[in-house]
This record gives sequence, C-alpha cells and structure tokens, in this order.
Amino acid sequence: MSREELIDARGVLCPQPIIDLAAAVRRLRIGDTVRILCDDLAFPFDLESWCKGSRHELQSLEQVGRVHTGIVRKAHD
Amino acid sequence: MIQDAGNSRPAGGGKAVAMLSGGLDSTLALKLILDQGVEVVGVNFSTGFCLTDHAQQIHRSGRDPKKLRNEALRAGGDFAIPVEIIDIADEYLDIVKYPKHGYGKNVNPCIDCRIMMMTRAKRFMEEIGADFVFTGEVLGQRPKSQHRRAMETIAAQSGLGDRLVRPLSAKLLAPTRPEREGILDRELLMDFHGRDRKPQITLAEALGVTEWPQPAGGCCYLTDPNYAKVVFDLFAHEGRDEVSREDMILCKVGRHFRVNGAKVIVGRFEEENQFLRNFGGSRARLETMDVVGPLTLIDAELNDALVETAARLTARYSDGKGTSKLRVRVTNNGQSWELEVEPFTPETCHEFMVR
Repeated sequence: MSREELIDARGVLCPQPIIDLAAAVRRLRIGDTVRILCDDLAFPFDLESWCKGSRHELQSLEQVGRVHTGIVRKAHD
Repeated sequence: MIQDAGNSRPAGGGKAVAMLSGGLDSTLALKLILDQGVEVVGVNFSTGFCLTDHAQQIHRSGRDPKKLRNEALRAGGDFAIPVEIIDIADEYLDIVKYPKHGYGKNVNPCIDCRIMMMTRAKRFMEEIGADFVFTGEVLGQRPKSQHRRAMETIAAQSGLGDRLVRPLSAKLLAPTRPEREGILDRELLMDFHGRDRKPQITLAEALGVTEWPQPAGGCCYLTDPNYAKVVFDLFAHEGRDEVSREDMILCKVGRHFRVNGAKVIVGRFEEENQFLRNFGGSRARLETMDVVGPLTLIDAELNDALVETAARLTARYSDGKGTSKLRVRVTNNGQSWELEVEPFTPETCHEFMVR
C-alpha cells in the first residue's frame, strides 16, 4: 500500500522547498507520493522542471489563492 | 529550451557531474558533454547569495514569475537530467567572512567559492560513482577566478585535479583524465577565451539552445558594490565573528544607516517592508501612523536619541516627508508607543547612510 508524505513549505524561502521535496522522495518507496504546499510564485515552474529532470511523476499541480499544491509520485529509486 | 535534447547522442559512456547555474555557459557545457554520450547529473549550490533566490523572496508585484524560476532546475528539465540542489549556506558564510584567497572587486570571494563548490562537487561525484566534474567556466572571462593560474589553483585545491573539465575552453587547457581515457573527444570541445559572448551565442544557435536567462554574467549578490558597502560596514561595526547568516540577509534589504554605531534599516517599497516585518525578529520596529511609509528596524539596544533619529528617518521616506510633524509608532518587546517628529532633510539622511 502506498503512502503520502506532506510537506508544508508555505513561507519557506526558495530553493528550500525543492531541497525538501528531493529528500522526501529519496526516503519513500516507489509508488509513494509527496504532497507539497508552497506559496512561492516560481514554485510551479521549479516543480515541473524538477519532476521532468528527475523523472518522477507530477500527478497534479493546483493553485488556490497564493498557495500551490503539487503531488509527486516516486517513479524509481 | 532546447530543440533536440537527448537526441543524436553517440555512445561515449562515462558519467559526469555538471556544476550547473542554468546560465548560457553552463547550459552549453552541459549540451557538449551530453552530445558525447556521457550520463550527466547536475548540481546547483544554494549559497544564500543568489540574486534569483532573493528576487523570489522579495517578489515585487507585476514581475513575471517565470523569471524567478531556478534556472539550474529549468536546464535540468529541458535536458532531462536530474539536478541536485545542495545547501551550503552555513559553511559558505565562513568564506565570505574569511576568504583565504581574498575578495574580488566587492565582497566576492570567488576563488574560495569555486574551491568550496568543487570540493563539494567532488564528494558528490564520488558518492554517485561519476568519472569527472565539469563547469561552464571560460578562460579569461572573469578577472578573479577565471584566469589560467586561478583555474589551476581551483582544480588542485578542490582535489579534482585532472578530473575537472571546462568544455568551453578545454582546447586551451591541459588534457584532462576523461579526455585521456577516451570518455571525451577533445576535438569536440571548445577553445573559447575572454569576455566576448559571441562565440557562445553562435554555439547556442548551432546546438539548438534557444533560451537562457538574461542578463548573463553571474547571479551573485556578493559582486554588487552597494551590498559590499553594507556588508563591510557590518563587519567593521559588529566584528566578523559575530555576523550571522540572518545579518547577511538583512544587508540585502532596504536603506542602511548608522546612528552612533547602531544599525537602522528602512524599507524601500512594500515588498521590502513585508520582508522586514516577517524577518525582523525581536528588533524594534517603526512605522508612520497617518501616512503611507516604510517599515524601519533598529538592530541595536534602544535609547531615546536613537529612537528619535530612526523615527525622523522613517518620516523622511514616508508620503508625509514634506510636513513639519508626523506621528511614528515604535514597537519593541511587546510594548508600543508614539513619537511626533519632524522628517529629516535629504542631506541629514545622507550623513547617516552607510556608503
């Protein structure tokens, strides 16, 4: 059964949210997900690039108000 | 953006670590190495002094968020290579305070910086089993860290030695180990030299690299002359040992004044005021009460004369600067009180300004 880890990076200065995301993905098993909340304006661009480069799956990316929520699924070790 | 990332790569083998800023030079170096069939993992170091990071932290309204993105991650996405961001901010502060190889024109310890980053990149190279590290450095492009002797010093002191490749100037430098071992074909590397960007732009066109951040030429706060003045003033008044990462961040924000040795910081626009409000910690704060004005921090123990001077500075940079009296609210240690002050003249402000 897959599990989900939550990172609340609201108010966290860049590039720390992506550093935290990478660390979380390393800890998880293939198929597990990370839900990350971030209010940095550039976060959607950084998240999409990071997923593309690292070949992990960006399952969804939504914005409510100033807060972006991304869900990333670990695709490989 | 690139047009043919990942295509037409010969089978050269080998694995490398790219020191990647995402600027034009490191992007071209990356493309040259990928085109030789080498597997690449990027590293990008977070020092706490990157202009883009700061712009993200103080994003002025109306600014295109795409211009605030991390360009190393962008390049990694475009070329489909993983990029590891490594936080070296704490150890980096030490070399900013005590650079063994001295500063460049401002507070930039470029040689120490390169040695630190390459030492860390070497460790990463060993951790992931890579064969070499490469950078986008160009011989003669930057006066402090990219002349031949400095580049040799950096390669030696980082421990990388001949496992450090500069693809854009490789033909002007001694052959490296991956060239000797046949992982890299030296003939496919470049011979760029100096500050002229035309060869890079021509190469970018030839390789199908169509997008890179502007302006080029470095992304580091430490080369900013105004920032350097504020930092050297801080070192002189506080002592280098006492200066923290937080102090260095505050040096980036607002107008800085010295009032009998005490530091006063006045925000320049709303986003800076907000940053100072969030980041100010337990420092005393001042704000005008009846007109729009800046947020001011006092980074020192308070006395009446200091508070009055800070209040008059605050009033000067408010919308009420032309009036004879303004009310300013002071907040410190959970207590709040008001002062009525006359705004300073520009000449008086200038006397207190760190410069």
